[in-house]
Amino acid sequence: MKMKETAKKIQLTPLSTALKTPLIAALLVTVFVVSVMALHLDIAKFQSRLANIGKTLSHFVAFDIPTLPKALLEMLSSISLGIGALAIGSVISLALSFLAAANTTPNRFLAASIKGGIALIRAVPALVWVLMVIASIGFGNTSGLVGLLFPTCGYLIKSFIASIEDKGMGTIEALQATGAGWFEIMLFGVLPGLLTSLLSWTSMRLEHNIAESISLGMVGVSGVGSMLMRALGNYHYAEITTITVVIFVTMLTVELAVGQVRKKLNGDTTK
Amino acid sequence: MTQVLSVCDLRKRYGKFEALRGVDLDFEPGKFTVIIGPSGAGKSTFIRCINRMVDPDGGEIVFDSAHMEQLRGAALRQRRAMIGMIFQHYNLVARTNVLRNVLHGRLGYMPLWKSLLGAYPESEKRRALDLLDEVGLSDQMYKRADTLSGGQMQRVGICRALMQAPKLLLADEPIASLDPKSAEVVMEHLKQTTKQRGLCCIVNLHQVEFARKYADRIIGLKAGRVVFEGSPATLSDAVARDIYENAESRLENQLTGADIARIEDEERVALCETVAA
Ligand SMILES: Nc1ncnc2c1ncn2[C@@H]1O[C@H](COP(=O)(O)OP(=O)(O)OP(=O)(O)O)[C@@H](O)[C@H]1O
Ligand SMILES: [Mg+2]
Repeated sequence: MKMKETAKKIQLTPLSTALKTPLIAALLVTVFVVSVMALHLDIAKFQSRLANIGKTLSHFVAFDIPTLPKALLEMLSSISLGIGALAIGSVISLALSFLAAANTTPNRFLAASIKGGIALIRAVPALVWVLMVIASIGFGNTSGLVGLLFPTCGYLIKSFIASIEDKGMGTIEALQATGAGWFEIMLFGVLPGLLTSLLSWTSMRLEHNIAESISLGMVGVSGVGSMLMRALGNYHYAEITTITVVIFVTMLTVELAVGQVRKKLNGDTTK
Repeated sequence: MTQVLSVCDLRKRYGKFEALRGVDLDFEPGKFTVIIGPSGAGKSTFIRCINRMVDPDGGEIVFDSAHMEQLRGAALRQRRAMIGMIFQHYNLVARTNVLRNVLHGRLGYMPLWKSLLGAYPESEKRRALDLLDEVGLSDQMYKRADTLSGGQMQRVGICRALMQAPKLLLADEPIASLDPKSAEVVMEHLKQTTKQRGLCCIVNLHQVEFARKYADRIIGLKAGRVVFEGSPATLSDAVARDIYENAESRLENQLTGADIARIEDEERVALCETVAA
């Protein structure tokens, strides 16, 4: 009996798992093939147009200096929209995340409903929120700002809650034991250790907010996004290139700046 | 009625598990009481029920003639302000300086708007400094709390609790994370303070030697019941071993059941001794 067992080859993975892997692979391949077929890709048309690509690209190799000031100005308005939504959103998020984090919430049901609401907000794409806001209060920058608040708060509240819950119960209990009230415990017990990570999350969100505020141009919110849409509609290739370069340089600058800020903040924590 | 705190038939269960199975104890001012017992005996649960960090399921906790188990909201906070608490992991606010940490002991006495302004009266700042001076930390008042050593942090923790001008001081394993030398310093200070201010001090400990050295009165807790109560002199090695012994100790066998709570204190001590002998 024992001999038999040792004679048998030893499987690295149990047979059930060994079978599962090829099965999953086959399934994935099937899904891929079906999806491609469902798309009705017109490969022939794509190939015939491919011949034109050189000509089209050459249109783009142009820079329209006169559009530059306008593009920069519009960029500035996009940035302000992103920053505005970030400023309002971070204040809302600060309040709601303290009410929702497991260790700081004054009421479990309140916490559960805030967390549920955030899950819902995050499940719906930002653009859909903006469209819904536009549908209810009309076109314009106000809609853009209000619409942008949804993804901003969705992101910030979720991150803030994670940071708050990370702090545990220790200091909270200690201040509770002194007879301090909820607001005092939050302000003196929890917030001091959180400031850097909250700022870090907020600065990280800045990038997303500017990118999203640009993309809101597609739905008529003014800014560099809508300027780009107009240029695209009119086939103004030089203008398109100019605007794209402005966007690219801005995003790169913002990313580098945010990186620097976060490095400073993190360095502060480890000190 | 000379006692500051009177606990009667205190019960607490976590799901089906009974952490406290009817604890009856009285505490007098000026006395240093140490609670010992094996891990999971319910020491922390007991001490945390007193200031309602844990809500008991049954029994009475009468502190300064108020029924703690019935209090809620502002009334509860008002009573909590009169009970200092010291923690194993100090639980200071890490990124805040020592002085401010000590002053947190006043938060329970201040109206919200005053504490928001950080407007502690000059007299209280002076008192905080005096407390720090007593533990030799006044020169560290502007240091951030998380830059201190464990022993220093615990001394700041004690100052914060004393800043409350408490009648009752609760400490849950205050020296469990400290080296022997710092542990002595902390215990010495706790004991001295208890005597000087006529406080009632209840300390959970794991180290029997420390209990013997500092306590006026030792209480043995095991499986949610009081199995020993007496002066350090009456805690023989054998009794101590029995308290810490696992599951089916002789002590446990003879003293199980609800009747344990009803046995008079002296009888209980005597019984423990005969069991041990
Ligand atoms: N929040 C909780 N949920 C469930 N069970 C708990 C909880 N807190 C304590 N317990 C249980 O209650 C029992 C008593 O716990 P308690 O912390 O009071 O023991 P202790 O005597 O302080 O032990 P230790 O010496 O290890 O600190 C333990 O069995 C523990 O598992
Ligand atoms: Mg404990």
